[in-house]
Amino acid sequence: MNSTAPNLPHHPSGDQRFAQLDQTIAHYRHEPTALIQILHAAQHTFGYLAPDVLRYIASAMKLSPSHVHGVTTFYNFFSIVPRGKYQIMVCTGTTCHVRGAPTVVERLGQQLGIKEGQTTKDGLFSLHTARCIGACALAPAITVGEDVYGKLAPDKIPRFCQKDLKKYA
Amino acid sequence: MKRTHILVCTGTGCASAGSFQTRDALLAELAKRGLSEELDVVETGCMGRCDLGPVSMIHPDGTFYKNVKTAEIPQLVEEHFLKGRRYEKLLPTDPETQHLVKTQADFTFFNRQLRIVRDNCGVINPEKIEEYIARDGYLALGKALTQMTPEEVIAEIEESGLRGRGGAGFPTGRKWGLMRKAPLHPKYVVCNADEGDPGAFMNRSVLEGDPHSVIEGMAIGAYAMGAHQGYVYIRAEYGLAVKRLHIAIEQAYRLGLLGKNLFETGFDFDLEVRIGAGAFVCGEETALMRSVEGRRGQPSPRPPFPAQRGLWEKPTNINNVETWATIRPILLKGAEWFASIGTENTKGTKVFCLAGKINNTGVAELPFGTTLRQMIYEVGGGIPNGKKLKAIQTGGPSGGVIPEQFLDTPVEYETLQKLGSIMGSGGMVVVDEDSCMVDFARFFMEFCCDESCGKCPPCRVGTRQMLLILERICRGEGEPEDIAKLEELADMVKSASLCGLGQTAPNPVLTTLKYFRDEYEAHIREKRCPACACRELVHFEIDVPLCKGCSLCARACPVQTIERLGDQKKFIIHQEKCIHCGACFDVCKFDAVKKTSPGIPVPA
Repeated sequence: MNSTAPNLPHHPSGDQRFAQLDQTIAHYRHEPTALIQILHAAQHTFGYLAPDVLRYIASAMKLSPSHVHGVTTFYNFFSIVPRGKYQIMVCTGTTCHVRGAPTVVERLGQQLGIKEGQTTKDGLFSLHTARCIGACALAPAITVGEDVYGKLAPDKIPRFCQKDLKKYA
Repeated sequence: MKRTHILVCTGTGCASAGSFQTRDALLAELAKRGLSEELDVVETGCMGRCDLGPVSMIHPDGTFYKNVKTAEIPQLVEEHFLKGRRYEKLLPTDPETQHLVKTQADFTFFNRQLRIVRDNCGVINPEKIEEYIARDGYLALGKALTQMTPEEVIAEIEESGLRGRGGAGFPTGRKWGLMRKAPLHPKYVVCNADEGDPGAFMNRSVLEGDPHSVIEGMAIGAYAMGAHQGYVYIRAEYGLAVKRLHIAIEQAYRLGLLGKNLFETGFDFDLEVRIGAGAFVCGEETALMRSVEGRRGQPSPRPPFPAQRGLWEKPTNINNVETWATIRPILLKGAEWFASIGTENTKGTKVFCLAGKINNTGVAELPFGTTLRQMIYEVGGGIPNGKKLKAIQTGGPSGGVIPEQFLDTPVEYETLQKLGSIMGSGGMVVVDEDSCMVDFARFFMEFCCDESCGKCPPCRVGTRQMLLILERICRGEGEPEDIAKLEELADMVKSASLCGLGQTAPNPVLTTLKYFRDEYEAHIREKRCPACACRELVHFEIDVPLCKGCSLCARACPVQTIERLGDQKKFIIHQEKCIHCGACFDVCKFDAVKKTSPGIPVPA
């Protein structure tokens, strides 16, 4: 597998994260069909998909930059702007909606002092909404990073911010 | 041999409630009391009662415990395993009888179910292939490969009457037959695990609880259709399911149940996981295939159907998670057995997700033909807080709402369609009198508008126009001709859109207009929201005699518009600054904050 690695264009910055990306691309044998999987890995490594990263992926996979950009921006999961270290995702699926998700988003925003899509000043949290995370039995549900929190009715938000979110600081 | 097994659910629901900590605490407590030799703790997949998590079942006595938090463990172990009596504090209450439920078999939520697809979920450890094999795992694959021809497998599936569980209900056997006859090679099989419908999580529960059943079904399908490569397309949101699927595939390869020369018959089958990236439209099969190919998930017109030209222009068969998981029991127990369950038109069982305003939230597998009333009141335990049922939303954003008067409808593909809704993936979101149907329609339209891929104008532009009208109505700015406009647009979007997303997007609007037209009219003519849910139309006021002056509301108010009434110990809301957020209403312990939607009198 490593035999393909030397052919890859090394990133001039010397940023080791690009070496990691090279390995992922090599793992998928430069298959254009694995683009989405590679974007997942890149976003995991870099936090978001900056233009530089997308151009690098395009050239390494011999795809046009416009194709890579087009795929990236089609999917909700990929972000081309920096996000918080931990992304707070409020599920806004049907069940969460009838159990008060819109108010949850609003109150979280008030507590954190940001609006949906924004990042807190310290860069710790950004606030987003998700279509449905399939945790309907726990509605209203939110995720912070990889952790799922359930049954967060709007009136529990202040306590959630003061107690649970402190763990991430 | 261990005398007792403690099954701890580690599905997403229970995991978020702390079931991994529960498991660790149990193991530590058992070790401390010297019981580790006799008792075993088993992590299982979803048991179906996510709202009571972490849940646990004791095998073999069948005791079902809810909310098994770490703090309760010492007491639980002492009571149940040392003193030999049930720990009543953690027994659930049956909402129907108000009695404590001792065993899983006594619980109406469980004993009304018929578990075929979810037979292993909540029973075996999904991360151990040995446990799956011990429950006849991969026996059906062995049988198909060594004793049956591909044609015989297809005939068996066709005879069973199995219909696709993804929503459309196309006969699976016929679909497989068409694929078998397709002349091009190679062929591909795909599992659609892009469960995007809000309110549906049955696929997640199957993949988390019994991933091998899906792998086995796919291998059987591949053999029947002549494919040697398969893909599971799964949503990125389902982290635990992705992890368990990867583990399961790796274990199957290790035992030679995937890969080359399965069961020494010369049949090869490789399986790969492809993770989606959050696009609802990718649940549509042509869009899904583009996404598997690493491209933008935009649908294309059919025909050509995937069975003719699919992935990389080659014949491709796409089935839903639940369909694949149903293959194994059919081969093991026979088509006749399967066809004896369900209704005339639709055989077998369906996994439903009960969510929303319902007592027993969770995953329940029931035979087709079960009525909505049985589902909501017997299995689901009714509506909480003594509220009144308003409607049931089925089929996600492509479905519709079914009002109370149709509760005795037996559930199957055709009956729901007749009511203007669809089965979809089987999500049932129960809505009570607190939800506004216009807001509900707006919610789904916003969803479809956002998730429209933008390829065809009827969907891209049509859903946006419908959304703008619905938003206006919810704000109290609706005009008398809006209803007619909505109907006209709905008709256009339905008939002219390219794929299923657009063709079904107007359904929630059409069904709410059909069954709850009076709510639309109240919004438009009287500027009133009967459910007091549309923010611009509600009014909050403090009932001064009831106010105890505790100041909770004033502290909760984000715009500081609640102040003391003169020098009294009571509070009032200054209406001019009120943003109608309802924070005061939620915190008041004395019901002193009143929520109304007075509207304006209709001019004569």
